[in-house]
Amino acid sequence: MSLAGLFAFVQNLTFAQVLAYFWPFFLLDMLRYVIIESLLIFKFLFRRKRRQQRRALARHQLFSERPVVSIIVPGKNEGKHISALANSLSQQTYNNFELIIVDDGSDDNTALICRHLLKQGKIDRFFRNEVRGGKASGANTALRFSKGKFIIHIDADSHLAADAIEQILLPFYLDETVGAVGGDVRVANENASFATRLQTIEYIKTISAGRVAASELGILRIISGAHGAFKREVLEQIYGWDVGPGLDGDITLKIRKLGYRVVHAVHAVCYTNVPSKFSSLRKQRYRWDRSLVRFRLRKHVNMLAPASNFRSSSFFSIIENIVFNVFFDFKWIVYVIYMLYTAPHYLGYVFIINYFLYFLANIVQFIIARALIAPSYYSADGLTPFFLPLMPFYTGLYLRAVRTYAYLMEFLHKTSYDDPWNPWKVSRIAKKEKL
Amino acid sequence: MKIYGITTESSFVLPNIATSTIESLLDDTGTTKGAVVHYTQGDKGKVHHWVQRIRQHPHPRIYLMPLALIYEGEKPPTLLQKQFDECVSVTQLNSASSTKSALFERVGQWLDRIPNLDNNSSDSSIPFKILRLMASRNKGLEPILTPSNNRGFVYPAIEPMFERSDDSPITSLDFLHRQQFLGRDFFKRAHFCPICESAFLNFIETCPDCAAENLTKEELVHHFKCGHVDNLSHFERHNQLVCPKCDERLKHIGVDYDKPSIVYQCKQCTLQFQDPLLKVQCYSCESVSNIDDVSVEDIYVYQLSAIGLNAALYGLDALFTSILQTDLQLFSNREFKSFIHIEKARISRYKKSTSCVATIYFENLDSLFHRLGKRTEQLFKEISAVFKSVFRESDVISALNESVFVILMTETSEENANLALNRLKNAIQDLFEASLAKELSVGILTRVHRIDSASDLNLMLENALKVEEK
Ligand SMILES: [Zn+2]
Ligand SMILES: [Zn+2]
Ligand SMILES: [Zn+2]
Repeated sequence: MSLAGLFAFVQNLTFAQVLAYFWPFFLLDMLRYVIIESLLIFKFLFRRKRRQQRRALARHQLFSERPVVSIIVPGKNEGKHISALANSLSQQTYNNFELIIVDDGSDDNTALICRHLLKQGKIDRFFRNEVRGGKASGANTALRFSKGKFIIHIDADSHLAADAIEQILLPFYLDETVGAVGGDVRVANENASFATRLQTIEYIKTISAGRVAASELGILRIISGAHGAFKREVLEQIYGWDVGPGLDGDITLKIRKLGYRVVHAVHAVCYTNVPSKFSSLRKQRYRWDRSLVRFRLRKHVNMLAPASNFRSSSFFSIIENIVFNVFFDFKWIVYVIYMLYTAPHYLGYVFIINYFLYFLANIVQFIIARALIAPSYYSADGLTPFFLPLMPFYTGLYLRAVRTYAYLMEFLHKTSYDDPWNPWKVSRIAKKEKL
Repeated sequence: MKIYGITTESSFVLPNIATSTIESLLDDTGTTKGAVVHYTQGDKGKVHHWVQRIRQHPHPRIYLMPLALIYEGEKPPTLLQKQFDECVSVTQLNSASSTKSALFERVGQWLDRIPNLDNNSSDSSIPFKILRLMASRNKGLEPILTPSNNRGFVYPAIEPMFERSDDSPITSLDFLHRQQFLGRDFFKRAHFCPICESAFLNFIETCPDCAAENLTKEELVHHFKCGHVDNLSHFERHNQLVCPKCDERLKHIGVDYDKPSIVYQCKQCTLQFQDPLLKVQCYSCESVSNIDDVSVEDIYVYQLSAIGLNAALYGLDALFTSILQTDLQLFSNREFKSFIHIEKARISRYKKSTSCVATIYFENLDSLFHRLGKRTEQLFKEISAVFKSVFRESDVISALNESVFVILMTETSEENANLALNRLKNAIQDLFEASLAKELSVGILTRVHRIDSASDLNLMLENALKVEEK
């Protein structure tokens, strides 16, 4: 293996060989993440230029109607964050909201703090469940007592940009059929460490750009629990949140089934602190992946079983879901085995070329994503792009390894029913019901 | 000694007890041993009034008189029963009479220990009378809860000592406790109106928004399987609990659902909330207060302390004497008299020396207690130190009573005696000033008598006591 050898290898590649050796990149990743996503984002940017006047009108409508908005913050032992959250919310450009805190069975001084803040008028409503019920029940309790026309769900430790509430509400006024809006989540501690740099790039790519693209296609699947807005009537029709992995679950599917659109508001920015050590990042992703795996697979496999209520309409969406997700997660195994058979001598060259291809793809993705979020972009020092060369290792090796391990563990044990966000009693029911 | 029976009827139920009227009973300060009151239904007001007249009497033999209540048929109200030392039904009377006479004996014996008790004795201070009542019974003072008093509780045993039913008993007991005459133990904690101190309060849960009192209260239900949370009533369907979200029947609480909290709804403004604002309305003055403003006070059971026991016998100011006793070695009156006799004989034999007897009278000494409380003891110790510095080892000091002292100053001229007494007076006055007690009307009166063969000690002591009366 040498540089000359590499050039010779590249020069001698036929078109058929390119496809044969690098099909995962050209047929799947580049097609999906670079070409289709870029086209969708271009479309979005082009439309946005044209819609500037409509946006101004929508904003005018929002501020003249001034509907009550309920900001709900369910959580356990989050008392220490609530004061800062209330202060940051007081800076919002849209301020006709009620702040509802639900204490889901905290065993620290959360209730004490919140009752004090309630007396001071810093929060508007406070409810406490003596017994912990899990994230969904906390959010549903808040929903039960909210009065707003729109419900915005945020995490206690998140920090919103000053116009975040306004930005997340605008899509409802741009299009009446919008039932739910996801807010953008960006990294607050960008320059804290090596790990947070890589996550900053990852968040911009997958959340900011990825969800705009999904939203343009009408297949946005996730509304972040850290930042999402819903029309009240929509949530009431589906009886609020379900027990699922986090709150990101299939609430979007239910909303879409009712005939509403679900969109991503890329300029409604919520900053969150991401793990600054690779060890804690690994644990976080392992947790996320494992419950996602459970959610995607077990629930759908269960629905495909002959005994359950079979509906052909959902059959194909489920098949699509499984094929895309499971196959995308495991294609690398197929690829490695395939390469060992077809070109065992060129593995080194193929690896290096793959790296360059993915590096280039990352650069293109980053530039486009950066252009997309330009109006609301904020960076501590502008050094983050220099970490782009490491992204192929981060997403291609590190995250993939964690995800594969999560799959393995999920197939071997059903341990993820013991979610950190659900108490044991709820997890146990979920396990029994194969939710 | 007599036991009187007083009754509204012409003759008393018990043949061995002389029937009397309340007036003749109050007049008999010499032979009274106790009284038995015969209670018949409807006499409550009159009986209470009798007890009041007895307990409010200034003479120890009358106001400390053991009182028994005898009733036929229905028991008298608790509040009345507890104002008496004993309460028995007529049918039990014969078997219970021995314990009663034991009580009468005990009180009688205690009265005999009071020094200088005669027909003219008169106690005017109510706190002092309380001490004596407790000491003579050797019993603590227990409150009972009652709706008849604004404060919701009374100390029935001392209640008749007061003219009106108000705060005075509690104030007096609190005073005696601060003076360390009474010890106390926690009995009950109670809430009182911040405006009028009444114990009769209505605790009301109100809406935090509109202050309405008309609230409904409902439990929240959480269905584990689907995460639905709603009022219990929204789950109720045909005597079953069915989840409105997923149509599943809820079976066992804790297994497939639970009730995480309770929610109030205001009927006036429809607000739903978990923490109603607790308000308090007073039944007496009708004022409405926040729960935080309501005063929470402890109610106590009182017992006599050792100081209290001593004070009950010798007076509130006997404390001073007892301090002097330990610091200075006070001589008894008898010893003092014999010293004077010896000194008189010595002077008449040698005709060379002069000796004097000084009398010191502290006027209004017990006002110090009221003013200084616990610090009184410290002040007395300091005064005692002044005594020690002014008088010599050879001087003989004795107390005629709590506030009159006589000192035999041997080999001292009248002039020198007066000088010494003035030094004493000034030093004590300085002490009062330092203790912020100078506004008090504690006067110090002194007199010096020269001892010669003609000196009449009894006359001297009489004169000393006469100073007191001025
Ligand atoms: Zn009152
Ligand atoms: Zn109300
Ligand atoms: Zn349900």
